[in-house]
Amino acid sequence: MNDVSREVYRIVGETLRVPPGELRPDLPIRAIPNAESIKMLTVILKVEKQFDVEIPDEATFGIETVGQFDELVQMLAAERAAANAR
Amino acid sequence: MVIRHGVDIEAVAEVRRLLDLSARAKRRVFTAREVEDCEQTGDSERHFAGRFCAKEALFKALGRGWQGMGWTEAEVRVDPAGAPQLVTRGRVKATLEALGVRSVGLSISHTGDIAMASVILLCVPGGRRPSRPVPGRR
Repeated sequence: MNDVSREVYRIVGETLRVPPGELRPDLPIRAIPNAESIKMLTVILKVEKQFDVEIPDEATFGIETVGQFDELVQMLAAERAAANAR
Repeated sequence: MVIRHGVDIEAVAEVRRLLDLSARAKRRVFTAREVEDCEQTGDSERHFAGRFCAKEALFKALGRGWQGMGWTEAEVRVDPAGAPQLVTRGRVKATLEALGVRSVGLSISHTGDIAMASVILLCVPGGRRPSRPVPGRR
C-alpha cells in the first residue's frame, strides 16, 4: 500500500466510521452502513483537498468497492503529480 | 402514469460541515444561482440543506444514489408564489427524459436542525430504469 492509498483508506475509514481492520479493497461501499450520499460527498471533498485533484461526478459511476475508489484517486493523484512535474 | 418517489432528510449541521470542508464545496454541489439565492436569505444553512435534500430525493426517485449524477445538473428554483421547482440539465435531464418523466413535484420542509425533501415523478408507462447514466449533455 503506497502513501496515497494509506491516506485514502484513512479518510474513508474516519469519515464512514469503519474500523481499520474491516477496510478491505473488496469491501462494497454499499455495504458500509454510513456510506450515504452526504458522507460519500464528504469523502470525495476531503480526498480532493488532500491530493489537489477533482473527482468528476461521472467518474464515480461504476465504483462499487473501496479498492476501486482508491484506484480512481491514485490515477487522479498520479495525473496531478505528472502535471506538477512539467 | 407511473409514479416514482424519492425522499431525503438531513441534519442542517451535517450539510454545513460538508460545505465548510473546502473552498469549492458549495460550487461542487450547488449552482451559482443556488448559492446566490441561499446566501441572500437570512438563514442560508437551512436553505442549502433543503436544496441538498431536494437533489438527493430526485436521485433516489431516479433509482440512483451518490454515483454518476451531477449535483449541479439539478437546480432548485423558487417560483413567484414561493413554491420550489427542480430545473434539470445534462445527464440528469436526459435520464428524466429516458424514464418518460412528464411532471416533477418537489416539496421541501425544515424544522429545527432538520431539513427534508420529497420528489414525485409522473412518468408515462414504459419508461425504463437506465442501467447507466445517459451520456453527458452539459
